[in-house]
Amino acid sequence: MKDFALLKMSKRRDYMKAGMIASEDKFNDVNVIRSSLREAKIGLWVIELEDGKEPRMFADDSMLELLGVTDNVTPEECYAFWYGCIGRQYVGRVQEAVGKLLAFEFAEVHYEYNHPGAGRIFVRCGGVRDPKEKRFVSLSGYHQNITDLQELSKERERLRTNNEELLGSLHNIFSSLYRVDLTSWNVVTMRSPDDALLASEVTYENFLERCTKYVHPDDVDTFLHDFSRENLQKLWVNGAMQFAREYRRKYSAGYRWVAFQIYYCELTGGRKWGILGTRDVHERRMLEEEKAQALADACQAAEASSLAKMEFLSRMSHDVRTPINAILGMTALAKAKKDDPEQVMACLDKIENAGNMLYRLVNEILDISRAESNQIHLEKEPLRISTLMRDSIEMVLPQATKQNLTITSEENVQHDYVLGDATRLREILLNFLTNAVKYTLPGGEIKLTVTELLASTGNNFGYQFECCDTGIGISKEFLPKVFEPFEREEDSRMTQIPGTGLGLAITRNLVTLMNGWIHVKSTKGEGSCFTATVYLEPQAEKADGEGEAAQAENEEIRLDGISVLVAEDNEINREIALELLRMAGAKVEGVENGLEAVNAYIQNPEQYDIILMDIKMPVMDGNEAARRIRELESYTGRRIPIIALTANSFAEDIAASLSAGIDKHLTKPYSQQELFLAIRELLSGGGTIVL
Amino acid sequence: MTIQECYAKMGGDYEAILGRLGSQAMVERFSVKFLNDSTFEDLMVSLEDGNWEEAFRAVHTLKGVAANLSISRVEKTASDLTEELRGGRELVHTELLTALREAYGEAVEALREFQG
Repeated sequence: MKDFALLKMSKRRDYMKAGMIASEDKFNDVNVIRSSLREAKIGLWVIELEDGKEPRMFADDSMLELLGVTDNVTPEECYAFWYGCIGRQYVGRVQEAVGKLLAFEFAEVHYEYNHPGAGRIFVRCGGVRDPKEKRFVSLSGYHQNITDLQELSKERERLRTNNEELLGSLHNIFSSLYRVDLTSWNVVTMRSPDDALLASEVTYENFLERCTKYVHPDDVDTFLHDFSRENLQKLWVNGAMQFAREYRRKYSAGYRWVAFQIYYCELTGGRKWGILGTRDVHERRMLEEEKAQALADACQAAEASSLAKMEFLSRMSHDVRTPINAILGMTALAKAKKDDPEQVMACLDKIENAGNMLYRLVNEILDISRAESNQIHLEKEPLRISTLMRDSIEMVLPQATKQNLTITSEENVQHDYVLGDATRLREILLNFLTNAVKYTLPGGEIKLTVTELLASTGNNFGYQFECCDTGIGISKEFLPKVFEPFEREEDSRMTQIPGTGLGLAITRNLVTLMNGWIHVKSTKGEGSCFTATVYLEPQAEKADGEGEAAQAENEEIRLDGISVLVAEDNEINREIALELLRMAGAKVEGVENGLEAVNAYIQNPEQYDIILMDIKMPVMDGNEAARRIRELESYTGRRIPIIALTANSFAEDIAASLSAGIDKHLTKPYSQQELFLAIRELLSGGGTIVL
Repeated sequence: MTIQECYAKMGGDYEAILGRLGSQAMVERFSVKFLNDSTFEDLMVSLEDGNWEEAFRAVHTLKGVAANLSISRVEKTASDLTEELRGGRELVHTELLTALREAYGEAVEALREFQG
């Protein structure tokens, strides 16, 4: 191995001998250079290429280390070793560089080198060809381990990618992004819908001013305060890492809610940044506002309802106290005048009136509270709209006639037969009608109209009941309150008119229960029109049921020759039953109690075909009588059908009757049709049937 | 006064009674029998005596009679009182009795008027 390092060493020794090292000569000291080179991981090399000979490589100590060979190798071996360690994919690049060197050009190449000790390293290698050497090709140059630099650049690359990803994701979140240098208070725009602003650097105050142009005028002051330099500094000092507020921001299409959010970051090196982003939070904000509104509404409704309850209670206590005062006052008066029967009677009359009023009031209050707690159960029974109308009018007719009022009605109905709660419907119409009668002056007119609506919901028919009068009317101010409990308009003409102010409230509750609505139109001095729209089910088996019933009604059921024993203590009830049966051709006998019935049966068990038995009778009740008759039948060997007639059929009553041996229940009032059908059914061997 | 007007006046259901008895003549014949019915008096006497069992039976009968004659208001008020007295309980809610008395008074008045 040719050691050119050693050659130079002798020169250094010369300098030392001279004892003087001039400053310009400092760089002539090859040791200084070499140690520097070694520190920098740079090695020096010489390659000699000679025709017909193996290529040779000479290396200095640093180079040997970088190559990873010991110093006892030949230059040929050294060359071969170096060449063999070049990363496969880099051989081409190295050969290219060597080509350049051969052409006396400078060349530098970075390549991967498989170091036997350190593993894969990256080297930078460059050199020149010695033009003075004519005998063979002599190349010399440097070889530097740049693995660390390579790693660093990779790290930088990684950071850059991370950064970009971070920024990218921030971009996805924020529509605008700014970097505020918290030392210089300069703002750099990193992302903005307005590209012209990008990368422009402005002072924080200028930035804020620019923002105010977009912020809603009502929000500007708070915005400027929230994001003032002072406020932010205060926040950071207090340890806050981020701060966010929402403002309305102007867009071409109007204002939208936008969140301004600033994050505090302290970078290595002591730099402090605020990353400020804005993002659209309009939808969320709207949703929140909606919820808040709903909450506020609910709160208000609750307050109103509690207020209404308070009012209700105070009015109620007033309305309840009035009749109670009357009762107490009149009682005291009656006691004082107990020797004057006429006076006492007058007092008692008044007491009765007050008591009745109280009774009505309590009932109506109960009705209201039941409706409010959804405790009113609506029946679903067959009814006729026309009957409903007629019944309701008939009930107010006497009073109306007394007041010289004319009542007319009009029916525009296609489906007369429906299912509904007849009692409650009548209550609604009666409330309308009695109000109309109350508040219409003599000579006035009242008209009740029912119109079937074309539009029906589902299978239900809609009916609109309208009650119009030419009465005193309702003032505009009071109109919205007419359906509120206890509200009565102050009117000199009305102070005489009794009422609790609950009627219309109950009516509204009922109509609401029927999935309908109630409405009032009125002009003071001209009259009022109350409208209730309800939806009622058609009679499901109307086609069959009605037809059958109609047919059955037409077909007269005869009971000719049938012998019936009727046990009923009440004369009227007994006579009605007997008369109906007689008219149908039956042979009848009536008795007044259970014992008489049993006795009549014992007289001649074969005499009767069927027994009608009231249950609640004196001496012996119907159940007991039935039980005894059934016992006697074990001797006669024939079972006689017994029908119970009762005013109420609770399940337990029916059960008691059944166990006593009664075959069928009829509830009073029963129609002759029901009675005859029941008799015919049992006599034709219909068996035990419970209604 | 017609029987229809009479029913309207006493809060009865003429349609129902007509349907049940079949003819107006029948309705006219039977409805006035209500005037001779002593059940209401029985009820009053029982209540005065504090005979709650008997009072219950009486008001229950009255309810049945009124129902049979479709004198609805009497039926309803009698029904309310029946529930009050059911099982031989004492009368507590006297207003129920007042209501029945009122309805009964109205019915009697209307029927007398009809009878002429």
